[in-house]
Amino acid sequence: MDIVTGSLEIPVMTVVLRGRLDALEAGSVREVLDAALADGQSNLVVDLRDVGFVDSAGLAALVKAMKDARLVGGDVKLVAPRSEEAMRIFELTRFDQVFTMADEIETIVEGW
Amino acid sequence: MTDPFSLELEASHLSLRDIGPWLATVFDASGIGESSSRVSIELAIHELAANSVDHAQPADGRLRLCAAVTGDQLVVGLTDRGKPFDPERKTTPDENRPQVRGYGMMIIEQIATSLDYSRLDEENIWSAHFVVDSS
Repeated sequence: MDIVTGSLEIPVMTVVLRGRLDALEAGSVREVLDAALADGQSNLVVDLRDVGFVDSAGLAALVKAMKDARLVGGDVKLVAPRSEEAMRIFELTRFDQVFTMADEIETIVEGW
Repeated sequence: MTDPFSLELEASHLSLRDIGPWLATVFDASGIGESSSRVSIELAIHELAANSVDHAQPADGRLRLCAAVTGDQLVVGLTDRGKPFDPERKTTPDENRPQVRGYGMMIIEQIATSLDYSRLDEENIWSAHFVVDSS
């Protein structure tokens, strides 16, 4: 019997956002995430640690990318905002239960 | 002298960023100061105003906000001269089926204690009521 061990490195792309993820910026974020997915990067981590405000348009950009990624076997996972205020919209809409979220990027990448 | 309880904005996504600082001014002018409620209330008003920008699309390109504080009660009014709001088109997201859009009104209704709408003289008139925490 041959036993061969090895490791698989799953490619994960990280996108770090800073500032406000609102209606003004949602289009740019959607473009970046759409481009990554079109390029075959279906495992995405969006780092929201330094995002201080998220509105429903910003949330929509993340949700659309998550749904598109899951359609092709990938996912969009989030590093949670440090700001309680920015986290609030995920709790109000219960998307904190839909997205895989963690406080550290390493936790997300290790858990993939 | 500018009335700290009123704000007129261009109906654009960029101008929505003026809502947070205005709300801070309202809180200061009312003697509320810092409050843990402020950012949630900002989010609710931001969503209401974003609906006006995206859906009402006011012909004069303007949004008007006003605020009144009584004790721990805050009422924010928003008017625009845009297309009328159609309650029939309001969507309620299905909790078990995540969707991309349709969360704005849900967010407002969760933060506000009540939300009223009327249409008068070609204007959409919204009134959102909040309880302000004093912490």
